[in-house]
Amino acid sequence: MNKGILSMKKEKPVLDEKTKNMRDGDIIISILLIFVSIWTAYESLRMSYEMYSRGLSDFYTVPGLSPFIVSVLILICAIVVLVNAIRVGGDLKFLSPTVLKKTFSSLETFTPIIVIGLMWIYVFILVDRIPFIIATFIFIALMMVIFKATRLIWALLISALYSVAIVYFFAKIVGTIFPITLFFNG
Amino acid sequence: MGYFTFFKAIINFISPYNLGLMAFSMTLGIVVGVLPGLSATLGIALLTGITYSYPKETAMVIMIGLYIGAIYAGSLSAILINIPGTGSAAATCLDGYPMAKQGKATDAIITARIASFIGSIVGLVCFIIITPLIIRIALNFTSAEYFWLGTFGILICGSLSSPDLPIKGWIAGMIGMMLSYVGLEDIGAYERFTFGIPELISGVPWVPLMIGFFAIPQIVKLIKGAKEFEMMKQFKETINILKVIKENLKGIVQWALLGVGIGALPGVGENIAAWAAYGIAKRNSRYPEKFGTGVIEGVMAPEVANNAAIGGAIIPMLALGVPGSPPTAVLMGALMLHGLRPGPMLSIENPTFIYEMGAWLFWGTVMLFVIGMLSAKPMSQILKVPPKILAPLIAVLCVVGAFSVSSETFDIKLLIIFGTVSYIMDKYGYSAGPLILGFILGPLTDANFRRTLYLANGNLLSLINRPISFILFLATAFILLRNLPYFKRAK
Repeated sequence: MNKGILSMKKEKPVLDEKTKNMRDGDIIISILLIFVSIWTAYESLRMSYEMYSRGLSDFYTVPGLSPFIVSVLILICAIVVLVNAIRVGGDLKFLSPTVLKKTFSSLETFTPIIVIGLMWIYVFILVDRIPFIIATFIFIALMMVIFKATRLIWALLISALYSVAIVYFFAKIVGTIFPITLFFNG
Repeated sequence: MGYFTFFKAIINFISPYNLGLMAFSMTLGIVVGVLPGLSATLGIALLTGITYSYPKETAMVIMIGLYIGAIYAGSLSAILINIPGTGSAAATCLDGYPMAKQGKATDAIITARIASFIGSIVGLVCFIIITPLIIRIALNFTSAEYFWLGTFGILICGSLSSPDLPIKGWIAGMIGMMLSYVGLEDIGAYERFTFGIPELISGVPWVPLMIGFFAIPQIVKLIKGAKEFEMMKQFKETINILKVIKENLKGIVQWALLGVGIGALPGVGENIAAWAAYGIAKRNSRYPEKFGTGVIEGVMAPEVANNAAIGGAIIPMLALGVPGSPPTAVLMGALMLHGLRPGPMLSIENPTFIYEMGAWLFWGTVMLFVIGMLSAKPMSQILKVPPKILAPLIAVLCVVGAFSVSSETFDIKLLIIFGTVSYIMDKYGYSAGPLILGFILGPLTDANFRRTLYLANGNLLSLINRPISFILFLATAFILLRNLPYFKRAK
């Protein structure tokens, strides 16, 4: 019988795959949230003590008051999510080498990694080092080629036209000043 | 006096420039709404950077036009290819696409357009009538009321818009609040959580935050979910729309008022309004078992509600400074960038602004009818662009749009970081909506909480010793307690 979230009786309902994955992920995310909220609570107390001990604030107006309260609330909620996830059958078996190998060999896992990875390369590496218009061209072309959006010639043409158009629009009409320029400030 | 000012604002708006601007922004909004991967929220966020240097009236007209157009146009892709262009059109897929498969795509599109028009009109009327009334009440608010209003808003948004457990919505809202605490705090100007990074002294820039949180997961989904779809053809119309309206008049009123009501709830917005209206329409229908097979009410109900929710969402945004939906959260940020302070003080600092907003909503609704009629066939061509081509183009637009606000590469780096976090959060059931609302309302709750305690020398009872603050406290407690059963039952 269900005795509420505080009960640790093993009465795990049967979960579909999507919910099971969600609960497995809940364990990792909530552990992460627990650590982050403990750290932010500590930082909030530290900044509050600094102001309070110097007589610059009363305890109810210290700058860390709201962050501390919110950190504690996040901590409590994260623990609730963690306990719920364990109770319904979430576990960390998905971190085992066998399962990880299977997960990372699927396209479904790689697609977001590649998309987000390319965006990181575009913004953190390319934009700071080469003219914006060329960085944009490379990024769009790579995305289209890797994901086979269209034939190579069309991918290159669309990338070139779009890069020129967007940089021209933002440079000339919106007045944006790009970090490294080639022509028309972009 | 208020209604006279409203009608005067409508007349004053009439000029080739203004009408042309509204038509242009409506067309832009329809393009944004039709394309899966773009949304009203993202469109407004991108426009904020582009229109930053424009006069505030011009910027607002463009954003309102885009907002209304995008919410309507999501129905086009929902009907023609069974993929909603915006989240608010997801319910429209259920009957819109089956109608299209039966050769009634044009009938469904006409229904969606007329329903959107009616919903917008009702939303506008409610906005004009209700907003001044709420402002009159809100002028009596003190810091305690604002504290509970912000807290209530975050909790209810988290509860209603979380795709998984409500507590995850609350966590997302509180993460948003923590992000809002970065930078100089309001009362003592103390630096919080800046880690010595000078760009963070003025706080986390909200345009990269909005774009990162809303855009990146969509871009990934566009590529992941890209598949062949069959676009339904648009044949000659067969529907007698006036007859349909007459037969469903009672329902239309119900769905529209429901849309306004749900739109007015902080951070909840058009998506929930559409689903709620669909559910009500099905429950009250004489033939509920036919819903999902292509019934006209299944298209009409969500479209009336989601457009009515626009007016509903703007009510708390202007009257209380609490946005009613994600797009109005971004709109509110844009207003603040242009030097306006949404909230009851707006009626004192800018007494005609609310009525000007009403005039923009009115003309936006008129343009919806006109441009919507002309754009259905051309927009269906845009839908033929493969998602894998669209995705990188949208990604670049987001990066450049975020960069254009302050020309800082730091902003676009933050965008990517937030986008990555957002993707992971979205995958595990933490919605961006409550996070954004928490970010917007975090400073409101923080400053007013400490101000209340400061004025009462630390007495906690000062938070609930006024009638309105006590009512808001009870409402907050109700939301908390109501969702506790979710945690009692393992899910």
